[in-house]
Amino acid sequence: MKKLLFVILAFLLLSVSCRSTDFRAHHPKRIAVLPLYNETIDIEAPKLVYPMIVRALEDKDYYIVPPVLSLEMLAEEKNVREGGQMNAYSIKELGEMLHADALLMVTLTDWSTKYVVVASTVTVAATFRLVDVQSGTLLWETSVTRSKGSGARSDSLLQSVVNAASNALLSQYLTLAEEMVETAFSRLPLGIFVTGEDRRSRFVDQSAP
Amino acid sequence: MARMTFFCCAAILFLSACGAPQKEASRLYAKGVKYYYFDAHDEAQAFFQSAADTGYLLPGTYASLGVTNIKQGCIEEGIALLDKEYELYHDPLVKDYIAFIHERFTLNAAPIPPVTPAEPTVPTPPATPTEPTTSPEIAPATEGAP
Repeated sequence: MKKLLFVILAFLLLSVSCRSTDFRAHHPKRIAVLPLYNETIDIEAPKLVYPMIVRALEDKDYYIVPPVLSLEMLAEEKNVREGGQMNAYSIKELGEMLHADALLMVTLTDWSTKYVVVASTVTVAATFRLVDVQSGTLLWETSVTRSKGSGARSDSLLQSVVNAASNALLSQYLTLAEEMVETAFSRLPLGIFVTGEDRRSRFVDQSAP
Repeated sequence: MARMTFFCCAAILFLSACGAPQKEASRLYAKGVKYYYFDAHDEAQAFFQSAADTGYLLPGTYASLGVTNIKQGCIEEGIALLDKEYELYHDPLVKDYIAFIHERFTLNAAPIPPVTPAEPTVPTPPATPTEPTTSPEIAPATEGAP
């Protein structure tokens, strides 16, 4: 039993180190955030989560290809406005068009409220994948689910109904989505730039004319 | 011990104050992206401008301001901002986008008709108010026309 546990542990450690070796070998400098692939029924959800991802990545000291330009170019050149429309193009094609080292692809897997009698549970979930443009290697991947229930313990039935309804409000979704994005990016290694320097000098490509 | 705690607190406050402009800039910038994504370009522009005003310039701020200017019809101002972004960060995508905008607004511009010398025209007599006249030059209104 102990031997089996040791083997499993060794295998897990090896897989983690391989993944981080990939990341170190292809440490991305420029990341482009693609429009989110939406597996939920809420059509507005990706537009709400996308800016949260931009902010979180910005705080991790990566150079993000200006998202407004990425979205404009994808829409104008490739007619891509949603994540689902990107299947027609390869990672390399999209990455080279956006001049990115890596593409961040996010799939929104859950954005829902489930009601059980007079209680509600809001769930938000997504999968994050960072892929190297040149080799197609998966550099980093994580899945995060966040949910919050309205709680069943209440003095009155009316109070329970009010709690369940207020739990399902958009603000609740936004709070959970913020938490989800924060948790996901806490697992991403820091960008290659040292915190504290002036960003203007940090991001300038010195080889450019 | 109390002195140590005081110094630690002071250091934490100092460090958090140093990081504040960056956090504020990225918060405003992300809000701008959100409004842009929802096609609210006025609000997006205001947030990008606020992000630039924090004094902590994030890459993409001028580019985003440029795009929102272009969306609102201020093409020259937009291109100037995109040029400024390119000067700062040398982002090749910014260069591509500037080229795209130049190409788009050159191709989409309405062609100016060539100037032809004016031909001598015969002056027409003024219409008499007593006789009702029908003008064949005025096309009848079609269905569905505004």
